[in-house]
This record gives sequence, structure tokens and C-alpha cells, in this order.
Amino acid sequence: MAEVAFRGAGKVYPDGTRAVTDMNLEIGDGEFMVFVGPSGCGKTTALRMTAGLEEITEGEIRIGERRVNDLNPQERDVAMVFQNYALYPHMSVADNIAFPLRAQRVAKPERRRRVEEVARLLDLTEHLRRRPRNLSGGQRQRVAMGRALIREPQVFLMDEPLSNLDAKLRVEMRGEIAALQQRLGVTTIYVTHDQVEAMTMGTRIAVMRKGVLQQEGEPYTLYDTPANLFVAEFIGSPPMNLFRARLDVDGGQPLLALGEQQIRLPGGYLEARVALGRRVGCEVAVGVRPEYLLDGATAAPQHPRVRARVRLVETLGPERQVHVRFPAAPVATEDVLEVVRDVDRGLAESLSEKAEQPHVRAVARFEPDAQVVVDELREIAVVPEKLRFFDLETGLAIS
Amino acid sequence: MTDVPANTPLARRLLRFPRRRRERLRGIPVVWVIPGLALAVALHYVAVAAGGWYAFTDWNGISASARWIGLGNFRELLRNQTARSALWHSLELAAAYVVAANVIGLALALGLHRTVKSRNLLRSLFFAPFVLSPLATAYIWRFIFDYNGPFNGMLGAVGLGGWKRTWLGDPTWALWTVLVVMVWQAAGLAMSFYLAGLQGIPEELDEAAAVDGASMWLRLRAVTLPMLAPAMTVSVALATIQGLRVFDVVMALTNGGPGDATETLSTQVFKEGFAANRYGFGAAFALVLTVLIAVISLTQILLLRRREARL
Amino acid sequence: MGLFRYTWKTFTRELVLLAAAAIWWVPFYFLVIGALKPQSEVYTTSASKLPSRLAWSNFSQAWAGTGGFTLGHSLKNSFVITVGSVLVLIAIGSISAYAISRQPKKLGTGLYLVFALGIIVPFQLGIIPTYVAMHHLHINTSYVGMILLHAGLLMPLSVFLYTGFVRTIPRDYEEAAYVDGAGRLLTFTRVVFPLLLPITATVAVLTGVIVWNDFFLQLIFLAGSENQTVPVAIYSFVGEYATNWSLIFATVILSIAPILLFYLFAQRQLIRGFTGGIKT
Repeated sequence: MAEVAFRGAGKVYPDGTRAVTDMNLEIGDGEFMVFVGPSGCGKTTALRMTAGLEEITEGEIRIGERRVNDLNPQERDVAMVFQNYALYPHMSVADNIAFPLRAQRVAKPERRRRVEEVARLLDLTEHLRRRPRNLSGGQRQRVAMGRALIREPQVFLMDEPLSNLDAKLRVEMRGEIAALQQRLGVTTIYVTHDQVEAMTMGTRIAVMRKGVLQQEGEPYTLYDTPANLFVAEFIGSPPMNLFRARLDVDGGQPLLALGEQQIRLPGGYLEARVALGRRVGCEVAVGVRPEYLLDGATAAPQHPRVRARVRLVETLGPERQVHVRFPAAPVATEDVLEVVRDVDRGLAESLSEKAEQPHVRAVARFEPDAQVVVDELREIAVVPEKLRFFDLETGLAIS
Repeated sequence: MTDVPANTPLARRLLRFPRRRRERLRGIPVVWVIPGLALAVALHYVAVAAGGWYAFTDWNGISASARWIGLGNFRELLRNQTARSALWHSLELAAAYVVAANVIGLALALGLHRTVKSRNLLRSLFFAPFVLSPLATAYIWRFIFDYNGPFNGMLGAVGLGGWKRTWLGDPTWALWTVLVVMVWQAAGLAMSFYLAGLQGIPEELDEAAAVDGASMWLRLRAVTLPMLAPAMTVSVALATIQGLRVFDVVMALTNGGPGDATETLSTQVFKEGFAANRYGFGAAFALVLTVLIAVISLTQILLLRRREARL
Repeated sequence: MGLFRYTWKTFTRELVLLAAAAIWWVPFYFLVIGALKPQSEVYTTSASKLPSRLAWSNFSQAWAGTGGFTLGHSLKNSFVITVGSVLVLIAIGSISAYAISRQPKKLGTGLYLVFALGIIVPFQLGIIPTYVAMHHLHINTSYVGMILLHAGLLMPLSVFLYTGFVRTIPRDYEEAAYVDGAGRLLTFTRVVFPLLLPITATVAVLTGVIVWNDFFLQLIFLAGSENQTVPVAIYSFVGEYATNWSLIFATVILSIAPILLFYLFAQRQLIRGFTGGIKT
């Protein structure tokens, strides 16, 4: 059991490529920390640096108060589950799981006992004599976990262990892994590129981009108060609605000007948000989650309204997702584009092309039985308390 | 088969043939294999079979007829001192050669495996002796092991003057000196097999083993070596065959001498069969050699393959 | 790579290996300085001493050979026989492999096995009858005879290598050629064979080296003949030169120079050919 601390940790490759920059993070004992981000963001590198598979070129990493920079993997008392499981093909499942104990020179009978224990825990008892190549993906995954578990290490490291499984199995295993970790209480660092996984599994998540830690904290914190545009766009499905608006004050009342329309903000709004107050007269990026864009027909009357044209209605059991054409310019900064690009190249292209147009697509959440017709002009209610603001140049949140 | 549209000139030409002929037009006639097959079969099967037959005769290669003498040649083979030595030497040499070449080759491959900079250079350097004519390079070694040559010179220089010998002229040492040259020539080949095998092992396995706490030695023993089993099968089998068949090096270094201290089955095939005009007797050696190679390498491959299958 | 943190450890390993390679190549050092020493010096000075002057005349003397048969002569013979064998192996090997792979399953596998087994069967036993047969046909010392001999012996290897490769070529190309109206032979030469270039290179290099360096067969068939090849020539020269090491070394250098130069350019091909091609 141990805490893991990243203090100014960084990695530069001999040819000059930078993988991780100045990472500062304190992971408490027993926490389930998820590193999440698009591919190439440095999350796997950071994980491997903790394991000792990548050299730490800057700063340090501490595991339970021990500085591990100069320790090789064998000495760090960590266990790792690899993306492709890395099971020894020439050994049986039992031998695979027992291997770490063999490395520690544990006696055979003791080894056997512990392997059987772990096998029972992971439901692998019938497969102990088989070879990895005769197992299904899910079974292999569990063997990999068994091999990690058996050592009772200080830290578990998991490198996208579920990405090779099919969707249904993935959801199932997610729950199992989370439950297991809670039961065992071992500090865990889990790497994934899937933000849904991150949100559902982690006690804390750390979003990374291009080697830099963007924000870390509890899932809901990142969801509700993202620290910058990248996190705002990355976390949440469907993503946060983003648009540009000018902050103005008209006769003492603050409002957001979006072209021809306005969103009136409640009194005292700017006083409660000091940094925002200094931006009066400037254009800012505004973000709001779909669940705070409501049906104008049924929402509370004090919420300001905006008129938008309905483009698409998706009926999902518990709600209706209404895609509207919001009368505001889109936010097409590099951060946002990067996230969008990760999902769909074409979408990113069209987004940057349309950067100057006065419309942006937004998603609103209506009641499942709301009467909505495509192409009609509808009133969308905005919940002003849940608007988030970002600087258009730096992408940072304005609080 | 893609259908040819019916109204093109090609189609009209084709449609003139009845369907079955049309379809056979596509196939490649077996006839094309005949020349290659004939050559290969003639030499590898017919000639070998004939040779096998000659082993039971007393033919001298000149006279028109050969007399069947059953196992006569083989009995002589077992009685004849030189012949027995040759057989024994072939076996000794092959065994030692397989072990030495593979151990050194493996060590080199392991050493070279993740060395970054000079890897390609080193690989080329160690492999080079293998592509050169064994005969030609053997002469260099004859010089080196000459009593007045650099090897003894070096021994004297480091104070081991008492160990000087006529390496190639001493019946006790000649065979092992030949072994040294053989290993020098071919360790690079074994190294290449193992290097190729090592490259096939996913790096992740090594990493996983390291994180699991395995020391470098345990990783080697438990992960790397078992996964090298296929490469080992090939390298050992090939080395066995080569060890049993060796000819060039022996002829160049010692010509079988001193006395018969370095005679091998192959040198005997040559000397008895061609130099001494005793074709039948020479063929008997060749037959023994062939059978040895077949039996030993087959057993080896079976054993090693079974070990591999446990993978 | 994190597993190689202690680069001084890897560095030491590299140094040790470089030292080993240097020791490995010490024979070549002796070879070169020995060849360049005036013939009188080889025994009077210690082997590792550098020559007092460079005796290039050793090379011209080595070249001249003995008994009016020059080394150059034997080089020409080796060249003709090697190139001839390789060409035959490529031409016939590729076509045979192609034909085999386009046969109905059973026949194809059967033929393939016949060739594959030929690789394992050692040839020592067959030399004598072959010699006799060739003697009767009066081709036992001719170029044609030697080329047929080497080609026949290495044919299984060539077919083995080619077949493995041809199997990976999709039939689409041939079908396209067929629809375009090409006959089978034309399809092979213009469409299939060019696609086989990589393996052709391997076959050429592999068999070329084997034929060039062959001693056993060439000694038996060509000893004393006008068409003797380099290995045979060296063997007889050295017999004559006895312990005239400078001359012997000059001869050796001249004889391994072609292959060494070739190795310089084609090493990757060679190494890959020997290790990859031989994998069963």
C-alpha cells in the first residue's frame, strides 16, 4: 500500500521528442487514479515511467516515500497489466500467474496455494492447466490480472487492459475491476483513452494532452468545472456545447451577446465571478452541458431563453437529445479541434472551415415525451449557473 | 473465374473451344515441372540409390563390372583401423561442433540483441567467415597453428611457452584444432539464427517479466530461451549435418593426418572412393554417412520439435 | 528503453563484443600482412610484425599460378560455372515452383514433397554413380556438366524457396493477364516472374555462394582439368607452394576477394537468405 507522487516528472527521448512535461500529481494510498487522454498524450509513457520501463529524464517519481528513479522494475514492487496482456505463451495459466512468486523464490507448495487462491478469485480454476493461446480474450485478461494480483504489490499499473475486448465484455470487466480494486484497496493507476471508462471507474482522473497534465480531480469536478477547453470538450458524452459570445453589460444587467440574440444573465452574476467580470466587452468561449439546455416550453421561467432551429431529434429512452442550430459562432481553437479530430477527421475539417459562420451545433436535453418537430424554431432555456467560460486564446477557464 | 464478356474478340476466340478445353487453358501444365524435377530426382534420388547399391559391391570404378559382395565393405569398415577412426572422429567432431557453435552463437546473439549502435557492423563481422570458402580460410589457420606461427607465439608471449605444440601435427590435438577452425567459420551462422529468433520475441514479455520481479538470469532462462526453441531446432539440426559432413576444412588443414588422426567419413569417401580407386568401399563410407545423418538429424528434429510443441 | 537504463553497462557490453569481433578477425590481419611480406621474411620475423616493405610481387606471382594455369583462369571457370548454375536454378526453379503451386492440391503437395526431401538427402552417396554417368556422357569436366550438376543438386532448395513465395501471390494478376489475352508462358515471364524478384535475389545470392565455394564436388570432377575452379586451383597451388606462406596468402586473398566484395554489398541479403530461407 502506498502513495505515488509525481514531482516535476518529465521524459525527453534522446532524439529530442518530448513525451511528458513537468507532471505533478499526488495519488493517495488506495486510490483508483485514471490517466486519460487522446493517443499520444503521454499517459502510457507516464505509466511506464512509474513501472520503470521508461527512464525518468526529469523530476522524480516516488512510490510510498521512496524515490524510484534509479530503481529497476524488479525493485519497485509494482505490478502491471499490459494492453496485450503479455502472457508467457509457453507457460500454463498456473505458471503464468505463479511467475512473480517464482521470481521471489517462494517455495512451490506456497506458490501453488496462492495461485489457487487467485484463480478462485478470478474464476480461472478450470483453466489453470491450459495455455494462453487456448483462452478467450476475457480469460487472458483475467490471467494477466491474476499475475498482477498475486504479488500484493504496492501499486497496480494497468495499461488499457480492456481495449482489446468487445464492447459488452468491456462494460462487464469495468465493473469487476473497479470492485476488485475497492476490495483489495491497492493504489491503482489505470490508463485509458476512453473517457467514459475514466469517468465510471476512477476515484480521481487525470486528463493529459501532449505530455502535459491538463486537470486532475474527481470525475464530477472535471465534468462540471473543466479547467480548460480541452478538458471541456474531452470529458462528457455527448460533449459540452461550446460557442463564442461577447460578454456585455446593458444597463446594469450582464448578458451574452450571440449575434442577434442575447442570453440574459441573472443579477449579481458578475459579482460572483470576479475574473469573468474583468472580461466585459470581450469575446469569450462559453460552454454548457446538454442537460442544462432545456425545453423552453417546460423549463423554469427565470432561465433565459434562446431561439434555435431544430436539426435532429434522437429519442433515447430516458430523454430526447435535440440537436439544434444555435445562433452563435463555434469555438474552433486548436484544443477543441484536437479532440474532435481524434473522433472524426472530417468533422474537424468542417469545423475549422465553418469557424467564421454564425451557427454552431448544440445538443439540448428534452423530456422523453416532448413534442419536437425537425426544422421548427424552438425556445431553448439556458441554466446560467451552469455556464462555463473560457478564454479564447489560452483555453483556460475563467472563474 | 472472372467471366469474359461475350462480344469481345478475345471471347469470340475463346468460345471457339469447347468448355473443358477452355478451362484447361487456364491451368499450368504439369509438364513445366519436368525439367527441374528430372534434374533434381536424377541427382538426389537416382544417383543416391545407385550409390547405395554400389556400397555392396567391390567395384573399382574402372572395370566394366562390379561384383556383389554383400556386407563385405561394411565388415572391412569395422575392422579397418583407419575406417573406425574416421567414423569415430566424425561423431566426436559433430557433437563438439554442435555444442560449441551453438553456445557461442547463442552467446553472441544475446550479447548483440539490444546493442544499439554497432549491431549491424558486429553482425556482419561475425558472419563474414561463413560466406568465404572454407578451404581458403583454412589455410590462414594452418599458418596460425604452425609451430612457428602466431598462436604459439602468443602463448610464449604471455608466459605459457610450455603449452606450445604442433597443433595440427599432434595426433592428440589435431582434431580439436580442426574443431576450432570449424567453429570460427560457422558460429556467425548460428548467431544469425538466434538473432532472428530473438527478434521474434515480443519485447513486452521481457518487460512483463521484469515488472514481475524476475532478474536478468531468470528472464533469460524462463522466457527468452524457451521461446528460442524453434531457432535452436534449426540451428542444431543444421550444425549436426554439417559437423558430420565436414570435408573442406579437414582437407585443407591436415588432409586427414597426422596419420589418421583427423580422418572423417567424408575424407574417407574421397580417399578410398576416388584416390584409391575403390569405389565400392568409398560408397560404403558414404552410405554410413548418409544413414548417420538421416538417423541423427531425424531423431533430433523429432525431439526438438516435441520440445517446441510444449510451447 | 527503460530496461537499458545503465547505459554504461550496455556500453561495456558493446566494447566487449567489439573486442571479440576484433579477435575474430585477427586471422585476416595475419593474412594481409603475410601476403604483403617479402617471401623471405615470413619465417624470419614474428608473425605479427609488419612487413619491412610491401611485396606486391607476391600477388602477381600468385596470380600466375603453377604449371601455366593461372588463378585468373580458375576465376573465369568459377565465374562461368557459378553464373551458369544460378541462371539455371532461377529459370527452372521458378517455373517449377510456379507450376507446382498452380496444380490441384494433391499433385502439388506431392511434387513439393519430392523436392523438399531432396534438400535433406545428403549427396555423398550419389557422387560416384553421378561421376560415372557423367563420364560416360563425356561431360564430367565440361562447363555444361558442372552446371547441370550444381543446378540439379541445388534445385530442391531453389524450388523450396520459390514455392513458399509463389504461394503468397494472389491469382488476380494471372487472371487479369488471361483476360487480356496473354498466353501462359507470357503470363509467367511478364507478370509472375517480375513479382518474384525478392526471392530471386535470395536464391541467386544463396546458391551463388554455395556453388562458388564448393570444394568437394569440384575437386572430384575437376581436379587437374582445364576447367578447374578457384577452390580446386588453390588446393593444388598450395600443395606446390608448401610453406611459402606469403605466396599462399596472396593466393587466398585473390580468391576470397570477389566474395568478400560481394559480401560488402549484399550482406543483408546473404544473412537473411541463409537464416530465413533455411527455416523449414
